[in-house]
Amino acid sequence: MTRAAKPGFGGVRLLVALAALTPWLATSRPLLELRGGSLRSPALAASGGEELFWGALLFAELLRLAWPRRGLRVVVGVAGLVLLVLALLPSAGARGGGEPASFAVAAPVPWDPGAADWELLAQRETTLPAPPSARHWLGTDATGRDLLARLLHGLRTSLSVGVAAAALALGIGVAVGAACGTLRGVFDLLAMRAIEVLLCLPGLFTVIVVFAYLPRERAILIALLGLLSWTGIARLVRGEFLRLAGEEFVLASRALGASRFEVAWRHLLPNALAPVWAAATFAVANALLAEFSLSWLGFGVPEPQASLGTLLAEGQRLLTRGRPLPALAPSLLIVAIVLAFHRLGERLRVATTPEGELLGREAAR
Amino acid sequence: MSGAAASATRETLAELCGVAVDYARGGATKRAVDGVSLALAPGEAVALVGESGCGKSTTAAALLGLLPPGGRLAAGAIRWRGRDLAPDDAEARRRWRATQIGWLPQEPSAALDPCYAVGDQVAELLRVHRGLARAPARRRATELLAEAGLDDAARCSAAQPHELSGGQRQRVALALALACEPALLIADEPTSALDAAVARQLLDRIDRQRRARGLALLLISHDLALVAARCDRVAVMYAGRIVEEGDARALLAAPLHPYSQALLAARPPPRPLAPGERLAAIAGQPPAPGAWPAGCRFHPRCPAAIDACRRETPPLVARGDGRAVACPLAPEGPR
Repeated sequence: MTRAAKPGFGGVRLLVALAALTPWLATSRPLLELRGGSLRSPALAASGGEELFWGALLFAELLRLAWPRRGLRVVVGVAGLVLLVLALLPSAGARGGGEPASFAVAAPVPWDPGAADWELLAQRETTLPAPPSARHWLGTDATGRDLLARLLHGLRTSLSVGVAAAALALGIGVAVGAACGTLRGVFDLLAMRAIEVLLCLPGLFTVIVVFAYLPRERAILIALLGLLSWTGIARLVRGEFLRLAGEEFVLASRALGASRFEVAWRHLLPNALAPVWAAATFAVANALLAEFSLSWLGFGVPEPQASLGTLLAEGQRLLTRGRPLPALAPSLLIVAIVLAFHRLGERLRVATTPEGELLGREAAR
Repeated sequence: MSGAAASATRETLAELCGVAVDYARGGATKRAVDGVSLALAPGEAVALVGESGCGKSTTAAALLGLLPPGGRLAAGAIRWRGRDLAPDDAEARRRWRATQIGWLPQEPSAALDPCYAVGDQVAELLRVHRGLARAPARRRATELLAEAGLDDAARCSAAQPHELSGGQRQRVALALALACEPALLIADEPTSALDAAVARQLLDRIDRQRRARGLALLLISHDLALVAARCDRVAVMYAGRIVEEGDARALLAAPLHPYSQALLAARPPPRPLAPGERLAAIAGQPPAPGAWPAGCRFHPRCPAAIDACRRETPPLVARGDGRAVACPLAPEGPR
């Protein structure tokens, strides 16, 4: 990636970091507790493989940022090691039993996204959501669940669906496009016609119809969204392959004894991918919007998992009852996410096209 | 000495025997090369000269087995060290290109993949075709770059192609072409994108490398005088056929075919033009591939054409002095 594209990463990086940290930002389990003489972290210990994967990715990025400064590098490294040990230690509940904790550090948002605040519900007389307070920073929803915790977990769900669907689309699109551009002939013809047929399907309706016959699971939603959105990337990659095949360096490489597949793998693919990164970023934004719409319609991520779409659907019912926040907050968040990805995509597009680079420089002036 | 005659008397490296190439475009077939025979001895430098569209590049592509889509070897054979190269065995052809052929394309500076550092591109060739490990390949790549005339090769080998100047990229392309120690270097109009001084430099550099390694050269160009001085033999092509072939110095001094004469006359004189003086040019346009006139294909533009030229296609006739010409009006050689 070129230097010019880097500023565009900011917003997306922040959102991904937030989503990666969510399991430890918004949880009822203490981050750190002293129980029976030993220090434990129930929040970290409860993390599964997915949480640890995203955490590790975030840690790697932090380490990369800290690397130029030696002191910072050591601090981040040691902190990572400590966190890893805490995550791998068996949780205190398993051994310490009923002993009360003598000391505990709670998470910043000490609520689980799916659990109601029964104490609060018992005090309140209406079925309206609670307004923002010190206890619930953004208030609760109608069933007494903390809105901020649900927003954070919703962001995480939506983002993971969007990114995973776009990654699937990218994988299929690049593979099919590269195959068409390399093999040409009958395969190319048939694949392109198949893509045209696929393009005629109305995306959301197809997902709804197919989803009706399949279990309502996140993985299946991701698969459906990915399977319906790879066509644009495939056409882009194929076009790049055909364009690059006429370049002098491809001919030179063939004349010096490279096989067609060596040329495709070593020369065409790396050169074709530059514009694809921008397209993939837009694909993430589109997949996010699709997930948002589906969940809002009630066909998306199943309850009790929160996604931004389901949050909006819930919040919408409260709009007319003088509680705009439960609808407003997820809407603003989705706008922010889509804008962040579009900004990144635009930067990447500008950075990877020669004309675009010129336009970018003009704009910077 | 025609190609066929050469094979009988000398050891040959590469030989084209009556090669014809057809292009299929939208159902119609057009012939781009029509019966070209050409032989190269080991270490010999041959120039293939002609206007654009006369089939020079197609001839080279046919030799390599890399005709563009739609192209087909319609007739003839390609021999390497006396043996036929099977046109169907793509894998054997590829290995042959990898080990025996160096290729310098029309615009050497566009011959580099923009994605990789230039040193890595040379090293990759050595690793794939020569089986070198990573570190030795890298060292050898730097040596090759230095041999190709790249100053500060150690530093430049880490540069991306766009960070180098046009001249530097050319030298990298030359290093790439020579990396696997080929027996034959094919240079397809390597100077057409360069100004005169840079072109001369590149040709000198090719010359030095050629002599140092004793490799054969097939130099394709439209500038007869520029290349002929650096080659042993010259073949002049017009409309898909060779019209004259022979020793470079003799051909340059006294071209036999009217087309060769016109090509040489069309060079700008080495002095400022007098007021009102115009550059000599060959009247008319070369015919499009496949749309060749009957008889001698040059006759519509030939100042000396007679009636016979319009009816009969003159064959390439060998003369006693090692030259061959396809023109009935050419003076007889010494017998």
